[in-house]
Amino acid sequence: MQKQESIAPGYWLLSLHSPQIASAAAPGQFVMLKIDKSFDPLLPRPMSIHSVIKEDNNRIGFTILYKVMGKGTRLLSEKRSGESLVVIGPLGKGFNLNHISSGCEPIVVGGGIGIAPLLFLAHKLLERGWTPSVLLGANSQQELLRLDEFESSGLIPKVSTEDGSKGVKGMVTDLLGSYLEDRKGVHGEVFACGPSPMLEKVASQAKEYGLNSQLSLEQRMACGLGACLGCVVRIRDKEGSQLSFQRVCTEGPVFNGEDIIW
Amino acid sequence: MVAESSPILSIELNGLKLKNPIIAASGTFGYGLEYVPLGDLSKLGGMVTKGLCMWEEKGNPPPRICETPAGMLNSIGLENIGIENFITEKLPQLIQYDTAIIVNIWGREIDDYIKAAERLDAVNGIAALEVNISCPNIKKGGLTFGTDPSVTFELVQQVRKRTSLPLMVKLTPNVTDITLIARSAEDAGANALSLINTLLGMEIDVSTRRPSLANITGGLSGPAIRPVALRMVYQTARQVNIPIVGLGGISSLADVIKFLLAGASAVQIGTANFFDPTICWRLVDELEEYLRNENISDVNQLVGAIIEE
Repeated sequence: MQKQESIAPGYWLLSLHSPQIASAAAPGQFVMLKIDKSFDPLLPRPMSIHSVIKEDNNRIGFTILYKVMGKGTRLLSEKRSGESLVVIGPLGKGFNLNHISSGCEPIVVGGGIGIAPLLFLAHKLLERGWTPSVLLGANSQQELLRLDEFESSGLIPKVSTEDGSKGVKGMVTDLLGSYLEDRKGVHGEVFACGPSPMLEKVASQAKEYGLNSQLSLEQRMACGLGACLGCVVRIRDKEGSQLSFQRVCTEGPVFNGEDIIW
Repeated sequence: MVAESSPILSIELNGLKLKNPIIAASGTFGYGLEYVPLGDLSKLGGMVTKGLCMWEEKGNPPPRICETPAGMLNSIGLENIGIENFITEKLPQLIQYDTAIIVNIWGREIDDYIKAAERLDAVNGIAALEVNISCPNIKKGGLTFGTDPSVTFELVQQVRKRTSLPLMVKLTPNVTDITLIARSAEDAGANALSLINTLLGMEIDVSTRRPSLANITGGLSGPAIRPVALRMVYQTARQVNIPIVGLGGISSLADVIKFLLAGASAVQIGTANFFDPTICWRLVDELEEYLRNENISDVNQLVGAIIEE
């Protein structure tokens, strides 16, 4: 652990030194992080890679952005730099940028702590020559995280808060709705992460405007390696409407919005 | 004093030879290949595949797992790719490793087990079958095969007739007296027994008032169940003459030795693979080091060596 800082009440940014994981990581991938050797909590936690840390243009580490939700994340927040954590990664299939043409407009949509994998994605998009539109929503201004980081990359996020303390009052899906309405016919691709109801809405909005959506899903996970089959979500299989269970850790965490059965 | 030669780690389970007593347990090690990036499978005594049946099984809807104090509940619902896909897609890669590949089989009725055993009997590279008798029997109203001594006997006897592969029968702990089931399996021709499978449990999310698992109930595993498993291994070892493979919450070298002392000839590592994914490899090294330090020339000397006076 290089650094651990609280960036808002209940939200933490953890910097880990690991050239191996950092150099192999792609946006949307995650790591399994075991908080300590105790049996309570027993299981490692899946955590999105928030950004990579570079030194002299070499990737030397990565950050994790998380919210204290329960015992595991509380214990993690009590750890300080210099301590070691057992981390396995990078894991999973991240956002797929290969099929996106140069004329495509990426639209990055984050709700709450769902922005965690999106900063790394925004950086990667910029690196590849796209300038994504970024739409971020949270409960309140206090929980709108990492705006400075997006802005220092040259991006100007449109923001919403449910209490109206900053940006448009409402949900990030309201922002997305008006954004898509203003740019009818845009050739774009939506990348989103956030709570499940938000993602379901994003998938239907993207579909309504004829855009593909790539959504990063969350599920309880035991191994992260594809072995336990614990983290499945409902996915339409290739034939169409047939249900199949696919592993968030291996086939995901990023799935096409149209394939997800909510 | 340090033993001059390397201690003997190999064991024999009544027809199944293992290079050491550390086996990765079914359901926690996928089809083995998932763990290839983490270690050399050839170093392990063996690995048991995810439970396989004659068809592709989709399993239960999510959420399928839930963490509990020192343990976890799962209701995966026996999802698997099916025996045919296993044979064509997984086994050719697995047999490149010099480890005992033990295929866990299950069914909804006895005929499913018979077909699985017949199909796998003809396949090269399989060291043994582990028969999961903790499944609901649709012909008996969903009653678990392995909770009835006579059903257990019939099932194991039928499978026994169809294969010359060593049979390890995996017992459920959700019974009044596990030794009765153990003896039925032995009488029906099991080469060895593995115990225990998960303990049936449940959890409720107070904030939503809903069960934590979509299936409502699930199997409890992990360190939380270890004393129960150890007790059952100890009791069963006194009632049967076939070897026992102990499992249930094993998470350290000390745990391995406890199970050997209680009468297990080998152990399986299950849930620990999830929170400590290189544990199987480490235990092989640690066991060897322990034997050396304790001047024990053969791991078999620990089996049943509990001191009771």
